[in-house]
Order: sequence, then structure tokens, then C-alpha cells
Amino acid sequence: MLVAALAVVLGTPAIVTAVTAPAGTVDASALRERVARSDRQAHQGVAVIRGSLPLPVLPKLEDVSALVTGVTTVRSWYDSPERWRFDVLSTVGERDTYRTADGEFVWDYGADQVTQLVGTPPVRVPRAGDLLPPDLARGLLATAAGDAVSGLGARAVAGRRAEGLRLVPADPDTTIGRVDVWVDAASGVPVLVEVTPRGAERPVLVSAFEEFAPDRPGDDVLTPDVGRDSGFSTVEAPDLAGALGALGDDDVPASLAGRSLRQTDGAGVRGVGVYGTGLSSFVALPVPREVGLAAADAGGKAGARDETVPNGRVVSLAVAPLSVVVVRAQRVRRWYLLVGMVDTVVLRAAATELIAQSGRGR
Amino acid sequence: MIAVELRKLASRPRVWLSIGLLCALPALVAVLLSVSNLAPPPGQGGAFLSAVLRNGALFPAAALALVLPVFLPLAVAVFAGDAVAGEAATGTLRYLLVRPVSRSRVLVAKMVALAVFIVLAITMVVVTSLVVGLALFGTGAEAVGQSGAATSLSGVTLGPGELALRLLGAIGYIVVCMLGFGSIALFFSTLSDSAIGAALAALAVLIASSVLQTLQAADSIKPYLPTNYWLSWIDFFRDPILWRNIDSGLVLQACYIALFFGASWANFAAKDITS
Repeated sequence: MLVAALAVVLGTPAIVTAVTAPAGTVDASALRERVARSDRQAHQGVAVIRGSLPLPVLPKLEDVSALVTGVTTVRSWYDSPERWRFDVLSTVGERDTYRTADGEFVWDYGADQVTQLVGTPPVRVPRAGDLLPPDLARGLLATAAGDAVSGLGARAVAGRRAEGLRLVPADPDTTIGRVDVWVDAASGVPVLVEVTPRGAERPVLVSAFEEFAPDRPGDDVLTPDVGRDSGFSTVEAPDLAGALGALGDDDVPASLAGRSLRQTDGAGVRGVGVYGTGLSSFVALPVPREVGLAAADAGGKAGARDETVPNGRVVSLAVAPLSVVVVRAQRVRRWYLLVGMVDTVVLRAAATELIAQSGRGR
Repeated sequence: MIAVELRKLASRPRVWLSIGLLCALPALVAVLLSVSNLAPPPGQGGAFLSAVLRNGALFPAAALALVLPVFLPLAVAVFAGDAVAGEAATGTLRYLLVRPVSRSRVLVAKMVALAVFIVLAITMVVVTSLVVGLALFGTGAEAVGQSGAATSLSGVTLGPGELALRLLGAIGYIVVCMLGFGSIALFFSTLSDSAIGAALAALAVLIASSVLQTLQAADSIKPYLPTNYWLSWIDFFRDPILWRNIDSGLVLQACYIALFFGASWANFAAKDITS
């Protein structure tokens, strides 16, 4: 009896999957179009983001590291790009972010504090909402706009029929092997995203709705009527510079490792450059000495390759699909951080050029 | 038969001692918090502990968070482990069974007594912690502008009535969770003549389940672990209430209760009673 009951309990998910996921062919290009247009589709649900990147804790970016190294549960209500809410849940509290016509509000239970964020930061520190399936899928597919996609058939996600598409980047330099996106068949909203590094069999980042409904959320959950008697503060929206400390004020090189500068001070943060296009693009940013030292130290503990090169030092760490390189340009006494989903060979070449160009007194 | 078991429960000093110890731990924590005025840093420590300094009305929830992971299941394991094995060890089981009642009724009475013990223990923890919390930290009027009200995890103010309802929901949920775990201990109790052995076997299940929960490699079996949804009672204090894990927890515990009470019955009904 015990064995039979266990068999029924353990077999239930497989039975549900078989019932809710009839096979069918999927037009991948049409599905990609649906994903691109899905930002106007209201929905709500509970998603779990599972990251298994063996990434060391980056100084001052602990929250970002936690997102891709552990399990994060997020409850989400989405009305439109201008109106949404997502709650990051834990067993001791929650941190809720509201987007309204009046700006963004963050409720932090642990701090008993409501914070209104004013302005839109040019380069924002990634947060849990960016890794929810719809945002992650739209972001990755838009970044790899030139890459073809193929259909994956259908399966059940959150008890609903979902159709899949697979993106295999053509760029040989990106460390991303494939991105699988499963889209709710009824609404066109991505409900599951799996990111697998090149050469790996299992995904290292899985973002999936475990409960999903393509329903418009009510006003009551989208209105931040919270923390009436708690602390309240208004702050400028934190950007990358705010998180890491003062950035450099140098001009950025026009190209690095054969990749042209795509985005620079125009984005509002001086000294930060985005190089290349598609999924093999990478970011180069100057960081304060203490952040550079701590990042190099954390990388060293995680098994990073530490090289002394003429006029500098290069510490490179590959935690597929992410590559991180910490650069010390000795002559100008500057530290840089290079980050991207690109082969470390590319980042090391970029680091060497950065050191050489710094030496010429840019 | 049920009345006999309930009288036995009420007359045993060790039952009241274990409930007293369960109540003492949160009270001690409350006194220490009150004296030191040092709550855990935001986002750390037990649930609600960082908020109780501002509002004593939340202390029952903090007390439940304190006793649920270890002390409450420990008390349940000892009580349920003793239910049948304890009678066998003291030689009273054979006398119990010569009475004109079926073994099924005896087992049902044991299960009812277990449920009453769990309800009693949790109620006592909540009541004593509410009294201690209000006495040491105030009614929350200063914190949320309304006596007896509290701020939910989502920041929405819960009035006294709603807070009480949600607390009742959390208590009911924890009772079901403990009943599921108690069923496992009761099953071990029917297997052994040693009450301590049965309790230790149940605690081994608790520890194994807790260890597996921390392993990402065990993701596929986590939804079936007995302790997986225990902490979901906290979802009663979110706004809106997050029913997803509560529902799953209730279904899982119902399965455990049916499975292990059934196994206990199958074993006990056919067991040779030699002591």
C-alpha cells in the first residue's frame, strides 16, 4: 500500500504534464514576434529563479551575486511597462518594488522602510525583476536579434500549455550555448527561460513561473499603500556608479579586442563603455581601488587566473556563461572591471589593450 | 476510549512540563530582547523578531517561528513516540487491549489525543507569548497607530481582527503540519516497544528532511519532504495571502497523515502484543 501510494504521489507531476502538454509544431519566428510584443500583456504569478553559477560574491554587488548563485522566489503582478509590482520573498520577510505613475516605490519589511526612487538611472544595477521570465526572455532575444531561432514543441509550464523556441547564438565568442524560452500559448508571455553555457548540458540559470495567470492584476495590489507608519525616504534611483562608488572620469577607448564602443557616456555614466553587439558584448567600467582589490581577491579565492602583464595585472575568472576580468593599470593607478557573456580570451585581450592605452595617457 | 486518552494526557506531568518548556523559550527570548533592546538585523534572525520591538502584538508569530523548526516537533515526536511504544514498554498495552474495544478505536483515540496535545501546545505558546509580548513591547499603537494592529510582511497595516484571523490560520496550518509529523512518529511507535526509539526515529526523519531541503541537488524530491512547507505559515502574513505553498503544504500533510496513520493501523491491527 505504501509503495502504491508513493507511486501515485510521485507520478502525479508526470501525469499532469502529459495531460496539459499536447505535442504540436511551433513557428519559432512567429513565437519570437509574440514574445517581443508581450510587454503589453497583463499577467501575474509566482516565479522561481534558480542560478547555479559558481560566482564569488562581488564586493558591493552581493544582491546581484545572490540572484545568479542561489534560489530566489518572486511574486509578480504586471499590468503594463508603466505599472507593475514584484515581491522578492524570503522566510523572514519580503522586499517589494512597485512601479506607478509617480515613480518607483520599494517596501523593505526588514528595514521597516518605504523608499521612493526618483529618476531613471542610466545604468541600473540588475535586480530580481530583470530575471523574471518575460523580462529575461525579451532582453536576451532582443540582444541576439540577428540570431535565428528554432521551435521546440510544446510542454506544460505552471500547469498551462507552453510553446518553446531555442536560440543558439552564432557568434563564436559568446559563452552562451543556447537559450530556451517557453511561451504561454494562450497569452504569448514567456513563462520559462533556461540559459545554458556553451559546452554544458544543463542550464545554469532557470527562471520559471510556477504559478501563472494571464489576468490583469487588481488596483489593490498595484497601489503601494504600504508602511503607513514606517520610515519613508526619497532617494535618487541607484545606478551602477552609486553601487560601486565613484567611477573614473577618463574617456573610454573607441574599441577593445576588436569590438567597437557601442554605448558610452551618452548613457549618462562617465567612464563606462559597452563594447560589441549581440550576446558577445561586454562592459568595461573603472572602479575604485578598494573595489578592484576586493574583486581580485574574491576572484583569486574562486580559482581565477592571475597574470602579471607589462604595466599591469589581469585577474580573469570564467563562471560560464559569465566572464569577469579585473584589470589593474599600473601607470595610471586605475582599476577596471570587464564583465560579459563572452570568452575570457576576448576579455583578456581587451584588458591588455586597456592597460596599454592607459599607459599612453589617454 | 478518547476520553480515557484525554484524561491520561491531562494527568501526565511530563505533558505539561514539555508545554511549559515550549512556552519558556519564547518568553526568555522576549525578556532578552526587551532588556537588551537589540533585535536581529533586518532580514536576519527568526521571522518577525526584528519587528517585535516595535509591536508586541506580533510576538506570538515570532514565538511560533522560534519553536517550529526544532522544539515543537521534538515535543510532538516524544508524545507520539510514547503513544503505543510507551504502553508496551510499561506493560500496560496488553491490559489496554483486553478491554472490549477494537484496536482501531485505540489507535484513533491515540491520534485524537495527539491532535489535542498539538493544539494545546501551540495555543499555550501563542497565548503566553501574546501576554509576554504585549507586556514587554506594547500594543503596537505607537508603531501602527492602532492598538492590536500590526504591519504585514508586505507593508499593509492589518487591523486587530484581521491579525487575529491570520494568526488563527497560521495556528491551524501548523497544527496540520505537526499532525503529519506526529503520524510518522505514531507509525514508529507501533513498530517498537521503545518510546525513545520511536521518537528518535521520527527525529531522524525530521533531520534528514531538513538536510535535504538545503541541497539544490534534491530539488526534485523537495516537494515531497515532510518539512518542505512547514515555514509557509508565514505566508498568512503577506498581502495578498500567498495560498500557493499553504495549499501544497496542506495536501502534502494530508497525504502523510493518511499514509502513516494507515500504515500504523495496518501494523497495529495485526501486531502480536507480547508486553
